[in-house]
This record gives sequence, structure tokens and C-alpha cells, in this order.
Amino acid sequence: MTTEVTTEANPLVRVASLRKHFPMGGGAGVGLTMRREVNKAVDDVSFDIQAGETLGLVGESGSGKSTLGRVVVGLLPATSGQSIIAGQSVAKLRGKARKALWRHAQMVFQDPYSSLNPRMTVQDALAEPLRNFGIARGGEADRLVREALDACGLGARAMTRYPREFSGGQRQRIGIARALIVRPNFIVADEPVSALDVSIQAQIINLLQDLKAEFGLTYLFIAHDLAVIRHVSDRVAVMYRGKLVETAPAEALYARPLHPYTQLLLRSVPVPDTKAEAERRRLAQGTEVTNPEATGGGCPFSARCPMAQFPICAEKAPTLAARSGDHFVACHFAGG
Amino acid sequence: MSEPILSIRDLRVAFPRRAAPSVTVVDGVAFDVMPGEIVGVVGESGSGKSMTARSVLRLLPRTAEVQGSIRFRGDEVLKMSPGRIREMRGALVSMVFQDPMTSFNPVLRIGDQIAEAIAIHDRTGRASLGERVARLLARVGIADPKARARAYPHEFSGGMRQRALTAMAVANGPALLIADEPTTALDVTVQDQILRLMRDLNEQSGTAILLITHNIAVVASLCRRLIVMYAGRVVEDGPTAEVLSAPQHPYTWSLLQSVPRIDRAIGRLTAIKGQPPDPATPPGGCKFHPRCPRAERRCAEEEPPLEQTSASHAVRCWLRMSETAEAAQ
Amino acid sequence: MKDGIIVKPAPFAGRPGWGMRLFSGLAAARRLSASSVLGVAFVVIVGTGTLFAPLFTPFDPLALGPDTLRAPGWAHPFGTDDLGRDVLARVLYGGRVSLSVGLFSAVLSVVLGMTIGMVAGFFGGALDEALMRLTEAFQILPKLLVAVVVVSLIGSGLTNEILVIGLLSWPATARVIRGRVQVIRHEEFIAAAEMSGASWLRVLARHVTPNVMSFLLVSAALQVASAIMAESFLSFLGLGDPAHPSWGLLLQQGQLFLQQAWWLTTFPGIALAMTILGLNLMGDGLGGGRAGPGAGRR
Repeated sequence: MTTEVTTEANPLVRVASLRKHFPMGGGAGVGLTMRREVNKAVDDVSFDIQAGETLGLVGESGSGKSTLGRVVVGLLPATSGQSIIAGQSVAKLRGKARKALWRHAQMVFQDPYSSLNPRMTVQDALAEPLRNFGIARGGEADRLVREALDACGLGARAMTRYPREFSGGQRQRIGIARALIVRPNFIVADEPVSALDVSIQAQIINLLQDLKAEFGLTYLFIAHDLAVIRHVSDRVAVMYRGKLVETAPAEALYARPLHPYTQLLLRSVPVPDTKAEAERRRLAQGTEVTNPEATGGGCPFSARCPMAQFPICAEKAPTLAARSGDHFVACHFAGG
Repeated sequence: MSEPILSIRDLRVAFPRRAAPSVTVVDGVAFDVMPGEIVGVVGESGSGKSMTARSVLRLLPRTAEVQGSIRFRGDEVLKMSPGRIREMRGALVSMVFQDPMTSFNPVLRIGDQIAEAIAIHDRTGRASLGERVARLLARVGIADPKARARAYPHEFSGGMRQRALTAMAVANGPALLIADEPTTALDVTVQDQILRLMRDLNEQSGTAILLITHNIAVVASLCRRLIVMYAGRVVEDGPTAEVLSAPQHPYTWSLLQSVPRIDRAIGRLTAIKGQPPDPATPPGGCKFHPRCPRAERRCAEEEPPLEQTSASHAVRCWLRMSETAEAAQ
Repeated sequence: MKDGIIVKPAPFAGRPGWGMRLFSGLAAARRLSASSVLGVAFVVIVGTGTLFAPLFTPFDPLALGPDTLRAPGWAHPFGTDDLGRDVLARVLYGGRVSLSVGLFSAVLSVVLGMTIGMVAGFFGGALDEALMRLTEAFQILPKLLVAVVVVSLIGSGLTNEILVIGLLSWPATARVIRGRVQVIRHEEFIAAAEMSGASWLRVLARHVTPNVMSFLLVSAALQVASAIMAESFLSFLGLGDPAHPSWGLLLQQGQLFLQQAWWLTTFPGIALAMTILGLNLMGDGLGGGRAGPGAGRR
């Protein structure tokens, strides 16, 4: 894959109309009569990520953000739409070509207790991509493993140990080292700190930031914690039930959220400051809304939206459109 | 000055091991909860906060060795007969757990399970159980309570299950509600609703709440008092507003520095180096000293006692942050 | 799940330690229960006896002798049968037959079962469906009856016995392995292995297989026990190889003299029971340890 110079018009990652549908199990057996029910985990998502940028993808459970991460990087096949990394369309790749993509696009996983093979030493786990991609073997591979561990704050003594001998934070470092060892351009970090203790989260966040600067990485950072997303992201995309409802530069999103769902999220997050909390609670009073006119069609947020107007919100699904510069919102009414 | 509804003194919980000394997970914990008060206990893995909470209801594994004193309304819980403990659980002191899915029996209807919780303690009025269950579910904000009571746990969302669990916990009007990480498994919008529900319950019925969490921001939202635990010990205990705005223990201070904020941009997080100690091999002296940005030699040699720095605030540290608080915010 | 502190042993730490290197689970004897130690003891006793048979008896199991139907005594610790053959020798050498048939057919069924189970569990979809139908087809067959029929058709003989038993027993292993692989399939380290460029073959061999080993060992122990039982059954019905007497054959021959010469059936029976019980206890022990496949959640 050639290293292309990326510009505004030529982003490192371009996702266009990506869809991922899962058939919903309807009844036991082989399923000769296939039910029509599908779970639209990712429903027509489009965004760009510029080289060197961190796009923060935030959403609650059921938003589809983890599925989106896996489809973007090619771990799951898309139902339709495109994911283009450094000019290569991921959807069209099969077999060897798809594997070649993973030299340049890697993933950091969420669960430190399941992301490492319990039967492989750290050394074997880190040497695995070197071996499979034909990058290095033997002594040279050892050297690269040492380097990767060092970059992630672990000593060479870790090499002969098994994952069970490490804490969650350390395992996460090992997982990051594994993603890093092939020197990718793009990393999808799927909730990399959610399973860690608070005091360890900061360590790993700092590590990811440092690595980004040191190795010129581009991140798709997926998380449900809005504070973490604010801290690490250049741009933020908010996901709800498979759709993107708002994307904007981080500062703009947090200062002036336009979509009612983003507004709801932001005012639901507690802050460790009693005065600010009292103010937040006062502002959040009586904003919980249930709209009985919502039919389930149209906008996915229409059932809970304080701004919703019917019948338009139940009939017509809004699309992501620019409100000001690079601040995009999917809403018929937002943008005051 | 009223009496505390819960008074814990010198609580120690240890687990024996084969051919090795016991592992102490709660080491000399002491604090009070006043009637109608909401107290938050914050700590990370290994802090012993969950074990402390479970000790109050004697919900520890049978192998646990428990010492010390836990007084509920003056009665010593650790010396109560099993019958009295059973009377206490669910009626005087209730508990809400982290995972609402596994707290309910998946093959019984929600309404039946709540009814059972009521019936165990209140033999009268069997006929009106259905009514009471419906009223409880309505009180915790579940719409259409009569119909919802006939549903099974898997038909509820996570937030609704937590509400139902809370309903079950307050069914008999307990004086104290212990909530062990009640919102950790929930989305942030649902978390906000549950916290508001707890505040409402406290305001309406005067139920004291002991909230255990690792999320220090949640505490700011709900709790009048904040207790910080580290490695099985209480390291700071004071009014929430004071502890958050002017933390005196370096751990509390470091924790607040290391948490990203939604309300402001931070240049770089100040991470606490190292990791929480293994309860099996705790460090000597102050348990936090290997990670402490201010540790001195005395900290490695001698463990500080928990001392009052004011009428309402106590800290376990040789060098209090307040003495160099200019560096803090 | 929060950042765990490794506490050994972990009273409430939440996740069971992954522990168990290939054989370290066995080596960590402090974790073995009393019953599994007993099981190992039984198997070791039987194994040593049969393997080193010449050390324990000077007699040839097939050699006829003058001393017929002699009760157990000094010269013949297990007595003699109606043709004067020493029963101890027949039990020990017969054990070789029973055990080797058991072992080899178990190897066959385990290898076959593991392959089918892993492929079905890993790839899922239509392939899994097809393989499961095949598995069910074999499972429906009443194993022992079919074995009897087939062996009577194609003739007895150790190789035939091994093949028949092996080819009928693999479904049990296949199901266990398939179940385990279905769980492992969704572990994040498998996705990571794919993303590190591993071919599906490598993923199966290097990443999946080591993590099913503990289940495989349990299944293997149980398969050996079951195969020995099957072989005894066939021999008992007279379908065994008379040139290579096994315990089943001894039992069959001994039943004619049940009243007069209890030793002809008792000793082979004890040997058989000890072996089967021992293997089952071992299997339980491998599976029941705290870090083994049977432990707690997950």
C-alpha cells in the first residue's frame, strides 16, 4: 500500500454510507423461513478521518459504535457501503489483501482479560504479527518486541510471562504494544480504558496520546465516557441507534451541542464538583420526555426528544447536514 | 445531635489461605452514617469498599474472617443471631447491587419477586400485595406498573431492572439502603435517572443511603459526605464539597487530577504512577506511599492514623495536602 | 470488569485465573482433589501391571497347564482357569489388549472429534449445521449394538475393533470441543490473532487449540474409559480376538464357572472396574479444578 499524502479532500479514512445489519434470530432450527427482522446495528454512517486526527466516537449501549469500529477496520464485513483506508476499499478486500490491510490498520480491544491469549507468552503474542506479516523473525523480532514493550512502558522481563501474571492496566499496555508493533498508520481503539480502574485510565490515555505523537498515528477512539472523549478527540461523532446524529470539532460539540440527544447526554454526566452538580441538576429538571406519537419510524430519537414535532419527526428520518462549517447535525430542528 | 444509624469501628475482613498468611482486604475501617444521610464511599479495585458494604448485612463468603464492630441502631450486627440478621435484611437494611440482571431470578415475574420480598417481612395483607407492588413500581418511575409487574426480568431494560431492584429494596421502608455500584453497568442517561430516584427516595422517606462507587463524580451528585478508601483503609472522610474542592489526602487529590473533565479541557492528565497494591503483599508504612507524589521517608516507615483535621473532616496522612494546597487547583 | 489485582488464590476477584499450562494443571498437585488422586493411583496401578506384566508373573497367558480351576494361592495368586492357565497372567496380559484397544480407539475418536468440533465451532453457519447433522446421525446409533453388528460382519480382530469403536465414539468429543470453541471464537484475542495476519489454519492451530487442551484432556480420559468398556462388551459377546484375550473375553469364559471358580470373573472384573473408575476420576479431576474447564462461570 502506498503512503498517500492526505489532504482535506483525501482523508486517511473515509467511511461512506456504511451499513451493517444482523439478522435477528426468529425461531429455532435451520431457518428455512428466514424472518425479515434485522438489527440495523450500523445504519448509513459516513465520516472522514484526516491523517493525524483523533475522531472520538461516543454513544451509549446499543448505539452500534463497537460494531462500527469493527466494520471500519475490516473485522466484520459490511452489509453495504464503503470503508476506505489510505485509498484502499476495505469492503472489497478478501483473504490476503485484507490481511495486508492490517499492517496499516490495527485495533486495540476493550477487555484486557480477553484480548490476550492466555496460552501465549507476551513475547509470542507480540512476535505473532511480525511472523505472520513476514516483518521479522528470531533475534530481529525479539528486538522489535523489546522496543514495542518499552514504548508502552513495560520492561523486557515481561516477555517470558503469561497474561495472567499482569494487572488489567498492564495487559492493556501489552495489547497496545501488539497493535503498535507493525507500525500501523491507523488504530481503532474500542473502549480501551473502560475496563480499567480510574487511576489506571489516566496512564493508558496518556500512553495513547504519547504514542500518537511519537508515531504519527491516526485514531478512531470509541468510548461511552464523554469526558474521556472530550480529552482525547480532535473531532467527535455522536452515535444513536446505529446512526450518527452529530459530528463536530470537540470544543464546538461540548461548548454548543446542537442535537437534542447530545444535549441530553451532556447534561446527564455528573462532574466531581458539588456546585457544578447542583447547577447541572437544576438545569436537568423535567427534561425527561416521552412522546407517545413516536411510531418508531423516522428519527430514531423521536420517542425521547424534547424538540420533536409530529408528524414530521416520526415520518422523515433526518440526514447529517452541516449547520456551521464543520459542525454537522442530523435533525430537522436543531441548530439554533 | 442524634445517634448514627450505622456505626462501624475497626472493621477487619480477611480471607485465609492455604499455607500462607491470611489476606486482609478491609483493614481497620471506621465511619458513621447518620439517619437520613447519604454517604458515598469511593475506591478502586482492592480498596475493600464492597467488602465493607457486604459486612453490614453479613453477606460475606463463609470463609471470611471478620473482626471489629458494626452497630446498626446500637445493635451489634456481627454478634446477631442468623434469625435477627434475616429480619434485618430487606426490612431495616436493604442492598442494591451492581448487576440488576443477575439480581433477579430469570424464571419468575418481577412482580412476584417483589411481592415475595414484602411478604417475607410482612405477613399481613396478602390480598393487597398486588396493589403494593404496583404502587412501588410507580414510585420508582416505571410506567404502567400493573402490566410491568407481570413481566420477566429479561423483558426489562437495564435501567428498568435497576429501578425494579430499588423498588424491591425499599419495599419495606428500610432505614438504610446500601447501594453497591448501582449505576456502573448503566448508560449515563439511565445513571442520571437512577441517582435522581435515590435522591427522591431519600428526601421523601428519610432513608439513609450508603453509596459505594468508583466514580467520584457520581458522589458529587448525590452524597453529603464522602469517604475515600484505599487498600482496605479509610484515607479521607469529610463533607463532599470540602473533599472535592480541597482534598487533603494525596490520593484523593491525585485521583481528581487524573480524571478527564467534561466541563473543561485539560492539557495532560496527571496520572498516578503504579497500580493499587495486591492485598496479599501490601507495602509497609502508608499503603499509598509507593505511588504518592509527595511521599517522604516517614511515609514508608510508619503508617499514619486517621486523624480529624476539623470537626467534620478526617485524613490519614503525615503530610496533608491542605498544607500545600496552593499547588492543588 | 475492573482492573484486577492478581491475588492468588482469589476469593472475590471475579475472574478465575487462566492458569493451567498444558500439564502444569496436573503438576499442581495441591489443586487435585482426593478422588482424582485416587483415580490416578488406580490407572497407574493397572498401567504398571499390564505394561510390566513379565515382572509380575512368570506364566504365559496362553499356556495350558495341568493345574485346572485352582483357587488363588501362592503359586497362582489369582488362581487358574479350566485349562490350567494362570489367571494373573491372563489379567495382566489381557489388560494390554484392553488398554491398547481402548487407547488407540480413543485416540481415533478424539482426533476425529476434535477436528470436526473445532471446524464446526469455529466457522459456524452452514458448515456447522452440516457437521452437526452428521454428528447427530452418529449419535443416534446405539454404539454398542452397531459395534456388535459391524464386527460380526467384518470380522473380529484388534484393528477392526479399534476402527469401529473409534469411528462410533467421536461425537461426544466433537460436541464438547465445539461448545468450547464457540466460546473462544468470540474472545477478543481471536480477533487480534486474525488482525495479526494469521491464516485461519494458524488461528485454529496456534490460538484455539491450546485453549481447548484442558477440555480435550478430560474428553480423552473419558473416551479411553468408554472405549475400554466397549471393547470388553464386544469380547464378552464373543466378538473379541481369541488369540489376544482381553478382560471381556476372560469375563465371558469365566461366567461358565461363576459358582465354582469365582476368581475367574472377579479379578478381571476388578481390573476393569478399577481402570474405568480411575479414568473417570482422572477426567473429573482434570475438569473440576479451580482453573479447569468445569470451574465456575466462563
